[in-house]
Amino acid sequence: MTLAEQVYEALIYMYALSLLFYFSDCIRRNAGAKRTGTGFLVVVWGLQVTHVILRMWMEGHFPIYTTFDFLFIFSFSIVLMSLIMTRVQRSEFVILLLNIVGFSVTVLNRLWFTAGEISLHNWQTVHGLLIMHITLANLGFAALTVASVFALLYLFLHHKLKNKKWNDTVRRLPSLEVIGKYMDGATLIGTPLLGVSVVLAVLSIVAERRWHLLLDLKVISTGLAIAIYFGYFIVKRRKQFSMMVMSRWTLIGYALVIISFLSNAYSAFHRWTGE
Amino acid sequence: MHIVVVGLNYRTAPVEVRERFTFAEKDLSEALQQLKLTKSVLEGVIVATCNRTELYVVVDRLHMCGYFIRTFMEQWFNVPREEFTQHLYIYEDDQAMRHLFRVICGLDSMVIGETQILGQVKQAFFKAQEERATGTWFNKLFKQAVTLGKRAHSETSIGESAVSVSYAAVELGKRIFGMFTDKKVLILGAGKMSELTVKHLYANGASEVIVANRTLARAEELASKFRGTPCTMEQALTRLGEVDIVISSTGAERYILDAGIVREGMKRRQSRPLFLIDIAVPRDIDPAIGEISNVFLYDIDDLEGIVESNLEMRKVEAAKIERMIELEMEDYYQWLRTLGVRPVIRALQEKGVSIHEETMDSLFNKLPELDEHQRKVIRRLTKSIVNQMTTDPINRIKEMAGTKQGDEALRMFTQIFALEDAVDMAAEKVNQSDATALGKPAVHLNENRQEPVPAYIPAGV
Repeated sequence: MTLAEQVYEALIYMYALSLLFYFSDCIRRNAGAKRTGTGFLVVVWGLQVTHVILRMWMEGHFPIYTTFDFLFIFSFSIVLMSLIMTRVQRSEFVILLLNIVGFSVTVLNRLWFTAGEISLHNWQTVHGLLIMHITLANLGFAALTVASVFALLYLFLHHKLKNKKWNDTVRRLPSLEVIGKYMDGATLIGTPLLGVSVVLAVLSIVAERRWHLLLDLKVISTGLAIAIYFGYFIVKRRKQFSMMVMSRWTLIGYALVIISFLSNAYSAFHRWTGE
Repeated sequence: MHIVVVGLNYRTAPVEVRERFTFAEKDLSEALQQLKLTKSVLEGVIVATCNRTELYVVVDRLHMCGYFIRTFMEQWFNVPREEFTQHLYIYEDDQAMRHLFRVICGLDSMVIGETQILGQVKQAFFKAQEERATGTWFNKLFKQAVTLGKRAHSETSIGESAVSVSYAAVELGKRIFGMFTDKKVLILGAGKMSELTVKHLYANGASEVIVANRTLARAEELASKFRGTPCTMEQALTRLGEVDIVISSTGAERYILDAGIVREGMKRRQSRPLFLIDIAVPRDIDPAIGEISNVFLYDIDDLEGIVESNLEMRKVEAAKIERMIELEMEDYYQWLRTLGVRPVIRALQEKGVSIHEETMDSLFNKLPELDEHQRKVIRRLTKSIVNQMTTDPINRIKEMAGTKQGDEALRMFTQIFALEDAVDMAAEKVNQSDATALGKPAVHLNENRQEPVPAYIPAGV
């Protein structure tokens, strides 16, 4: 096992501990557990940075080209956003949900994929475009994950308030209005990022004249997701629907993003050689 | 010495009794002076609020101290003791300390977890310090209590949730809107309860208040209190589209808001939610309205349910604070145990410094040819010998002072190093440095009685 892999293993354990403490705080208020959870999350972030540095040192380039790297950078973004969220009041449940996603991705990444080096000689011509495509997709994916977490919380709190189920969880969540604003903000950031990433991918298809890829499952599902997110903003501007409807809309868009990601196996799009 | 609290509160004395035992702000200094002069009292703090009057004292003996305090109260309030003795409670040592901690954390308050008492006790302590009525024991105890009070509120959520119906409505509103700064409130029926609720909403930043009542004069009267707009009931029902919160408390026999009216209003509201609070009995708002999308309807029972749930939560949080109190008490005892050792250590250190200085003077007189650098080196090295010689005994006596044989060990230590005369002076210095650390001038206890500053802990505490 390489040093980078050992660091990855260690960060999984630290992440699990962090999640455990956050769980404990969310089940029953415990300021100490919350602080400890945040402490472990900082350690996780530090280990992620170490892992990237080690990989850069071993492979001689920023690790971004494989599915493993994509998911790793995604979980890195999630941890970073969670750490930023710790500065926001009543954010315990947001952080917990975000990190359930982050931790799941980190563990599954370890089980399903490897961080092996790949040959880049075929990709030299579109190297810059590729990096930009991956980076934007990654950031967009992370921002839309945050939007979906807020959408889930909105639906949860709305359900609780509508049905008069008052409990400590309700007390600890931000207000519906605040959750809605964060959801809007995250969607507003994530949609253009994902949009530009897809535009870059389509440009590469056009440049390579591989027109059949425009009907690829991955391209279609991503396109649909972006259409849904753009529709979100149009409807939002017209104030036609309540935030509850908008939350569902956000979750549908995110489901399509996930389908797009999972469809890699059935898609020819990422068997892209750059030739 | 012992810590004692004597007092009466809302549980032991009705308001007609409590009102006879209040200390006016202007009389507090004199009361503290008089309390200090009371026999057996070494330190004192008077906590006087609308719900309690409590005298915290450090006494040199438990026996008769209750009698002396009652005498003080009898003289100060000019009320025969037979009239108030049955309302008094007296707690000693452990109980007194625990009581102070519970009081300052709001656990002994009428509304459990309220924060006002923290400020009141803090003020009472500062006042007593100002009047030089506190000393080593209370300076430490009250400072610790204030810190604990703050921690109890910051580390638990005891004071977070509403415990009255009107506040529960505000808390609910905050879960929906977050802030009320750009929110409009409509009051249907200008009753007392709705006035109280809107008062809280207004205090929390509600931007505009519209008051509707069957009699317009009453609507105008209430609207003027919140710089609001009065209107008739009929007009109010057409304005549902522009308001965010509706508080209804009319005396109507039938529903004044039905689903049809609200549905129409919601069309004009676009995507904004509407919060309806029905505190009327019989109800003013058709419960079917609660089914309409984006409408949140709560009646008086729902709000009372929230209050009940919040009270339950406060009890859970109170249990956490009780545990914190036990730890604080242990800390205080730990401090008390080291209280006696500090003057002894200081005396030993001063003795060491003094011997060192004398030896150096003698040495430099005998060897005048030494230059400044050589003197510095000799001074530093010999100082190091003194420090090394005293470090282990100091560490050992610190450990031993916390044991059952602590008193005996201290006595032996004092005798072995011949510190008997130096300890009293050192105790005075320790006391002064404690007071300086609290940001207050040094406190001299019972100057009029020339009693010594407490240096050793009596076995009874």
